[in-house]
Amino acid sequence: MKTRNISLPLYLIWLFVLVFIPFLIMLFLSFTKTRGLDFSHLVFSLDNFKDILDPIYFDAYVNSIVLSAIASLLCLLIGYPVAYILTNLKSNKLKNILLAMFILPMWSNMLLRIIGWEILFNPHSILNSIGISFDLIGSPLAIIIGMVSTYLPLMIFPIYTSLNKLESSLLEASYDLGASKFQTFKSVILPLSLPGIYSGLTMTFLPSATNFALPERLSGGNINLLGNIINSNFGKSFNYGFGSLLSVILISVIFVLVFFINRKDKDGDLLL
Amino acid sequence: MKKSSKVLLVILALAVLYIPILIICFLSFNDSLRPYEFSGFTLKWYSEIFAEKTLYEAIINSWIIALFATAISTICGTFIAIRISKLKQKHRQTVMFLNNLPIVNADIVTGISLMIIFSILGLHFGKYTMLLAHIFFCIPFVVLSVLPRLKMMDENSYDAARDLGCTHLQAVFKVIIPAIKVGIISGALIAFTMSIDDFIISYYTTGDGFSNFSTWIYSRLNRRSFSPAAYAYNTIITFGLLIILIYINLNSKGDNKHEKKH
Amino acid sequence: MKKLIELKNISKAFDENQILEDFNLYINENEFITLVGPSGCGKTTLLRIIGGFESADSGQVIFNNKDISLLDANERPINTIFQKYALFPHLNVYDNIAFGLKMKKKTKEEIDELVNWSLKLVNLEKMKTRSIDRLSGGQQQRIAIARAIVNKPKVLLLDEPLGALDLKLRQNMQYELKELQQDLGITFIYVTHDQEEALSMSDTVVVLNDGIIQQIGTPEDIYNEPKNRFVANFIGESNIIKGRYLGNKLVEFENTIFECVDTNFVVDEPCDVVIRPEDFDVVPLKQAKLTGIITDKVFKGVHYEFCIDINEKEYIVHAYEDKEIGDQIGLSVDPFEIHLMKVNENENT
Repeated sequence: MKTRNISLPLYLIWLFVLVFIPFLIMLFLSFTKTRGLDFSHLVFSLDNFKDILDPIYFDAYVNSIVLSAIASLLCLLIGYPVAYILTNLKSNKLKNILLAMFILPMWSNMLLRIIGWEILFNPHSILNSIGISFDLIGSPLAIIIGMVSTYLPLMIFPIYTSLNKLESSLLEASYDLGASKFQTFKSVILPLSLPGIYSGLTMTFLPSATNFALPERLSGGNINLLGNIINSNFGKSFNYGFGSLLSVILISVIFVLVFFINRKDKDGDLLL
Repeated sequence: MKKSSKVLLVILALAVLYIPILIICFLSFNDSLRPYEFSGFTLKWYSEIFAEKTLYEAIINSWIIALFATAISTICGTFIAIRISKLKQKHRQTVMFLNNLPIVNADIVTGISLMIIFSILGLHFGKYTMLLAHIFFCIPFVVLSVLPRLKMMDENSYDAARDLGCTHLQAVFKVIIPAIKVGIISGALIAFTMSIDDFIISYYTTGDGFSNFSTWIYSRLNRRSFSPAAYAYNTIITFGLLIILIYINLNSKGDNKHEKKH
Repeated sequence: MKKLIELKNISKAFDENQILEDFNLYINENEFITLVGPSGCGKTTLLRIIGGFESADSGQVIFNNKDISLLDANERPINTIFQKYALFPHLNVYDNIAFGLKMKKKTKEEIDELVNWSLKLVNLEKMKTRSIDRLSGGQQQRIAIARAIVNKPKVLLLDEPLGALDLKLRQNMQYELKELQQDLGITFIYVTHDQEEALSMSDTVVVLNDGIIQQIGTPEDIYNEPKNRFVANFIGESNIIKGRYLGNKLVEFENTIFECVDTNFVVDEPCDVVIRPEDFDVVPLKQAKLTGIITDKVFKGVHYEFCIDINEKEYIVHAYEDKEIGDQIGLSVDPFEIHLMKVNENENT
């Protein structure tokens, strides 16, 4: 067969231009001091590498990792059983309605959902009228709740997909070989849904650590995460060099993660 | 797990997701401009959606960008997926690795990458750069959603169509595309969902005063120009869709069972 | 007979894997020809090159004295029945069969008539509006046949079409396909790895291994006079024994001299002797030319299959009378049942 479909080479060029070239530029900028993308006044320097170790950023690194890790583990703790329950629902109608209800929040604007929590967590809120007052703005808890609420569906769906792929004959075989329900879960279901768990963790951890709007709103500016630092270096201070270095590090981490998921997930359909 | 604990868990998960949405819904009926006091029930914010010109435009922009991005990325993504499915396992995995990078990549990195390359290419920031960015992050989702359907197809379907007299294009349109319809539709839905709700990438790739719903909200937070009409619009979209989805579901005659068989 | 298809010097490689090299074959009009060989022997590749799904790296496909190498699959007067049928799941039975006719822009009446005609041929007139996934394997098979023959191709390519069916159904379909081919007068090019299928259906059998034709001939030729060890082993069961031609239609093996019918050997030339398991006669020990000990037996319905140890070599013999393991058994062979093959130095077994 003669192939006339040139879409693939075009796509690879497109990815090269929009993913790889910006990466190279950011890698290059990491070794410079610059304001914005002004190449004429660019000075080579390793200051960015010194800055990155500056203690004022340490909190942000630690917060990014700790808060996002807690949030994605919570997502896993809630998301796995929910995905499991959804998979095993006998009524197709109920299953579809619940699936729809878990997708739907993504249609509600992310910023407004965060603002919803912000309003709730203010000491002075509409809840005062019914005698409740939270004072959570600025606390790690507020940020964690915000993260879980924003990204929970991204944990449920990959796990749901991987559980759905499990053939019932595998479970029957496990019971047939004498395994109890719990043993079957532990030694058949869980290992086979690991790819879903991995991509779920990736899909919740990374956005949590890099979303700048969420901590901005829910911490009242008290807590900064990685996303805030990158955002302020690109958006506000035009310190592209430092912002680039952070981005390059982040991309490298992501590169490793995608590589890992790609190897685990042969069908390549668990990221949805 | 006991049945009651199952129900409780699902309710907990739904609560985590829906509490902020319900608060926004509640505020859309609040007469007061201040979010911490309830001064009476009103529907005025719903009519305000159309009166508040900048908001109305931002909403229209969101829809136009999302529709175009969905249409273009669905078409491109489908053809790319068809091509990828013909690759050998080893090459396919490499291409899928590249395809998955933008999906997993942090939005802020994608946004900044696109901003950098767009400004180096000398593009004028505005609706076209935002559209380009949305197409960029939508295509991988379409590819990812179409590919499994292609794998499920009989490997000889294309050859059979050619054998029976189809040209290459006829074979693609008459045989392959009908067979992977479900994947294409769900790919398009995912693309649309991602596009209409996007904030961070849009924020970095727009310019020239062009905003979509998200960037409109972000630029007006804590300002007097913010209008609760945004709450009203969000409420209509969310709950309108919920009702439509449930309605469709209750009226479908077990189509899903049929799907599973393939 | 008229040559319909000619393959000239066909070569094809996938990556570094040379599947076919300088391959030549011609196929006559109205012939039922079967390409048989183990998987990976190049038979499916050959079929796909004829069908136009794969283009050869070099060489020509000649159809009716015209070179069709550069024509696409949709431009060739050839139709194919695919391994897993490749029926279109989004179309029902009628639309699947009508697909090719619609491509040729036939009128509605013509299409109707032809679809009905082909459904009748495969005995599934009642299934017209069924959806594909509600058909059994055998029915899907028939629809695939109908979908191909409705286009009245000059040549029908069949790529292991019966592979997915169970034994009984497969045997029935073998008869039906053979009958269909004779009724319609279409050239069938049939690919299978099942040697029984090849023998029972074909006019001509082509035995392939590693992209090389091992032997072409009628099923009888192939079975009775295999040209080499590969054919003897692949088609049916054989005992292959090293021997020496003594001249004067005499051959020596197992330290015994036998009469034979082959003559194209020189005196003292080493040769391979082929004896089919059913060609041994069990005789009383006194009249036996060969004697051995039964080491194993399996009841096969019509006959017993014995493993017999003769001079510490294992022989397989089919016989009707029952014997016990450990018994001594005497064997003889008629001259015309002894087939001598040239020793091929390239073969290492």
